[in-house]
Order: sequence, then structure tokens, then C-alpha cells
Amino acid sequence: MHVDARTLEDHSTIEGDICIIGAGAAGISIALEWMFSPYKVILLEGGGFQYEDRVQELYRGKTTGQPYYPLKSARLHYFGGTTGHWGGMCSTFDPIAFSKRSWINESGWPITQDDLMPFYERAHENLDLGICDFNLKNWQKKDPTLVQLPLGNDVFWNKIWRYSLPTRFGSKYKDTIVHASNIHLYTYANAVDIKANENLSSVKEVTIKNYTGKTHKVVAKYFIMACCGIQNARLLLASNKQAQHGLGNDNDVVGRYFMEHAEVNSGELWLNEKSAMKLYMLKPPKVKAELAMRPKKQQEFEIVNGIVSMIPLVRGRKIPPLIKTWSKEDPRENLKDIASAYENAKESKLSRFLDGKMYDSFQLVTRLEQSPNPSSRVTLDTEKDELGVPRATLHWQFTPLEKKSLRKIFEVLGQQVGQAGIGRIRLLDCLQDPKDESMPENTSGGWHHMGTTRMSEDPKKGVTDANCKIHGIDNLYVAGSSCFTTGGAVNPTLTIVAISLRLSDHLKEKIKTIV
Amino acid sequence: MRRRTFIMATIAVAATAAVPIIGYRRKHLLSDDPLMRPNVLAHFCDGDTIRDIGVKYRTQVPLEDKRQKLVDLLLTKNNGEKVESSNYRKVSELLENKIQSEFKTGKIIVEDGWVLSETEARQCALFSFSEK
Repeated sequence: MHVDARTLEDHSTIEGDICIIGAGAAGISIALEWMFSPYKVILLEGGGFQYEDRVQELYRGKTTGQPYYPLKSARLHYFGGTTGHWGGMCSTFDPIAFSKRSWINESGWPITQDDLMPFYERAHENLDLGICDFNLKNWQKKDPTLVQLPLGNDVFWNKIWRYSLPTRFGSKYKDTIVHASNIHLYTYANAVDIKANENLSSVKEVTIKNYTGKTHKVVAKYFIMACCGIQNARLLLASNKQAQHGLGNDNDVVGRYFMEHAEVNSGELWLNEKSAMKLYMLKPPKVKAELAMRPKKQQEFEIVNGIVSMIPLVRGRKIPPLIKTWSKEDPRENLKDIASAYENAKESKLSRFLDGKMYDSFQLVTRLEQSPNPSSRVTLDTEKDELGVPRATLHWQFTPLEKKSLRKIFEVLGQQVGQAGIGRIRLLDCLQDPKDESMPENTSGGWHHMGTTRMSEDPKKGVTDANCKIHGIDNLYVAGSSCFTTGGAVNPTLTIVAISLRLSDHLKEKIKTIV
Repeated sequence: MRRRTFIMATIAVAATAAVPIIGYRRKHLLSDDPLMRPNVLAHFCDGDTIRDIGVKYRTQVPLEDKRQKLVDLLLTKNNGEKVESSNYRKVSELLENKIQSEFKTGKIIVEDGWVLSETEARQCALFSFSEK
């Protein structure tokens, strides 16, 4: 059922078994799991069912450090969340993403890829991905023209991407959620404060507000924060009436370790002969591969993970970096600008005909894992939003490891391409000075906000435990990419849904124990 | 085998389209002397670019900033044996083998962004001594 919280009598109390704060990919995926159960689930959404600038304005914030997108336009604030305009690219995190790597500060999740695999499979259904198959050989059996570059198999491998429709959770799941008798969706219900018991060991209620000026409270047995990487941290930090530095923040970890994927135009591939490079070209809804370095090599070179995609150079050189294109506060305007940039970069039909869609030069773009860095963080600003909550400030900061990794990946790729005798690699200017440890000015992000309530068994190094429960609070959980201990090198949506389904299963077991 | 598959998959259509392009590029060959002609790089770069790469290499490796030194290094096999510079076919074979071997063993140089074998970088350097 659906209730518009603006229509409730002021100071209403909403009661349920589970309260999910946030109706994006994580929150909706969890809610769907509880349909037809005997439990009453409260699903809170700060916005309505479509874009409204006044609601979106609540996400506005400041950024410092490495240039970043305007926070207001970096997420969508309505039912369905940022799936309202995501690209649909999905892949699994590699086993190395979860492992402890001695050369990467604070790496190592308390769970493994094996722990997540059953949930990756289930997440495929939510995201309309079809079968869960990331094995290149299987796809090559179906389409033998998916030929890979002949690089050393012990150095690089082909990481497979799958494409979601892309599934818009807002439109796809609205009717299902609204008609589910035990799911109570409240729109215009912005969580602004979390109240705990006296010794801060358990959450009692969540305060919600909207711009009608009304305030309500939600009481539940369990609370799950699913508001995205920046807003999860913001809500915990802003819940500071009982705990001076915010709820769950005894060890000053909330908001720290913010991670993104650095997307960098890094190099050029020049081939001796033209090639369609079909396997590597972006052609939804089919599969696509990107070049990834083997874990053993990452270990040998002591670098973070990074994968390399390619686009015909004739097009790639015309496309401005996303960090330049996505510069406005209104996400709808930014989307138009990006579409326009890609349209302008298209070759003429005549040119494509003459080339036969074959190219001898490609721009190489890296999507790089960011190493966990406590100085890369979300904090509260002194300015407050319309509902009285301090705005978020994001300080995005890399370490020298990222730049070293970028350069190494391309040197090794250059060596492999030369050894294969198929052409040469050229590093772009930003990677040419080995002494320059800074990330290029044109470094873009993937709009992937991770790590701000990271998992760790050690409360001094993480906000949540292996089950996404906040350390020291027995009924407060976090769903989504803010729980990621490290960010991997692929887009996070598939893992967000998988980890949310895992959390849901955990809670189902736990709630059974309550009489 | 994988390399052959890749090449076969791409070469068929490319062959017809590439003929005029290769013909065009051949006009821009730097020199007939294989010592001053990094073959693969010459597919992608004009003479000025290769000259720039060579000048940068000479700055980066001042010990090799002498024409004769570069010639000697280029003509010397890994076992120390020297090849007669007037025999272009043998010199070409030697250089090709050295380049292949250097990529395999990681003897690479990044110059002006290009990831090159040491021998290719030396070829550029030698070419940079020639007049425009």
C-alpha cells in the first residue's frame, strides 16, 4: 500500500516490523523479498514517484579535493532512486576485491565472493539480466565473432559485462510494491534523525519530515538505511543529539573511506590492421568485455585493480570527459548534455560505411578501483537543507597508489600489445610523467558512492559488520554500496542488490528469533 | 594460435580497405635504412613525431646520444655478435628479433607516451640525427 506522508496528520506514528529508509535499488530489492511475509514492512521514500526539483535540492552539497560532480545531480531522489537514469552495466566483483591485499591500506572484506555468489544469481532477476554467466568462452560459443585480443593470458583477461535493460526500479516495481498488502510505502518521508535508546545500543525510532512542515516518527523492530553512499553517512552523522559525533560513529569512521571509480582517458591502442573489436564495443543488450589485469600481476606490481575499455579513437577524441559534461545541478540537464556530446562524436554515415565499422585506433578508458583512504570522506556542512538537516560535504581524495596503478596497467598493456605484434600503445599526457602522483584533472567518477559505512569486523576500521549491522547497535543495518570495504573495478549496482538480498536473508533468520 | 585467430578474424575485411592506406603510409616511410626505421611505429607516426621521440630518448639516455653508439647498439646481437650494416635483410631480421625479445622480457621504454622496445627507441634516436 502507498501513503503520501504529506497527507498524514502532523506527528503521526507509523509502526512496523522492518523499516527500510530509501526506495532505490537496495531498498526496493529488500522490500520485494518481504512481500507475502507475515511482517509489516515500512518503506520510506523522501520523494514521490517522479523528479521534483524541491526534493532533489535536499541532496545539494559541497565538494572539495578532486573535482567531483554536483552532489545534487549525482543521485536521484524519488521512488526507484538512481536507477531512474543508470546505464545498466553489470558485472561481479572479482575475488581479489574481497581479499586482504598487503599493499592496499585497509583492504579485505569480512566476506568473500563465494559468500555473495548465490545472491549475485538472485540479483540477476531483479535487474533483468538473464542468466548469470560471466564466462567469455560460453559467450564465444554462441557468437564466435567475439574474438579477444591475443594478449598474454597470464597477464590480462577479459572481464565480461552484462547489460540490464536498464531496469528502472521506479516504473518496474511501483505497482508491485504499492499493491503488496504488507509493504507500506510512504512517499515524501525523509528520514532526518535516528533516535536510539539511552545507552545507544538499539534504535527506537526514526523521525521523518517533508516540506509541508509535518513531522512523523517510525517505530520498528529493525531499521535498514538504504539511502545511498553519501546520504547514509549524512543521516548517521546528523543523528547527533544523543551521540555528539553521530550515531554509530564512536570510532570516527562514519563517512570516511569514500570511494569512487576513477574513470580516466588513459591511452590509445594503435593496431597494425583494422579490426571491428566487436567483443569490446558497447553494444547493449549483448555482452561486452574489458581488459583486466590478472590478480597475480596486481600483486606482483602492488597496484589496485583497473579495467580498460575502448572506443574508436575518431569518436573518443571528440567526447569530453564526463566530469566536464556533468557539471550542472539539474541531473536532467546533464543527461541531455551527455547525450548531445555522444551524438556530436558520431562519425558520418559515409565515414562509417567506408570504414566498414573497422578501426585501427582506439581510445582506452580505465575504470580504476580507489584504495580505501580515511581522508576521502563525507562530513556535515554548517549549512542546513530545507528540513533542517546539515548538508553533506564530500572531500574526494586519492593516494599516489591510484596514479602508480594507472601508469603500470598501461605500461604492461603496451608491453603485451607489442609482444603480440598487433600494434602499439600510447599513454596519454596525464600518465607520461612517472614522478607525477596526482590524478589527472579530467578524472571522472562513475557516480558510484562507496565505503562510507564500510564493513569490517574491527569497529575501529569499519562502521558495519559482515551482516551490514552497525557495530554496537543491535537493530540498525545499512544496505548498499556504503557497506563496501573496497570498491572493486566494476560498477556497483549488481553487488548493491546482491549484498542487500544477503542482508534481507540474514534479517529473516534473525526476526524469527523474536517472539 | 590465438594471435592467428585474431588476425584472421580482422584481416579479411581489412585487407581490401587497408591497401590504399598502407600505400599512402609507405610514401611517408622515413628511410630505407632499417636502422632508422621503426617499422610498426612508422604506421602510426610521421617523421616529425618519430624525430621528437628520438630527441627525447637521447635526452633521457645521454650515454647513447651519439650516432655511432646507437648504430653499434642496434647492430649488436644479444650474444655480442655484430651484423654487417650493409646487409639490410639481415639487419631487418636482427632488429625484428630484438624488438620481439625486448617486449617479451619487458625491456621497454615509454617515450612521448609510446610504449616501445628499447631497440625501437634507439631507431627513433638514430633517425633524429638525420636532416629534415
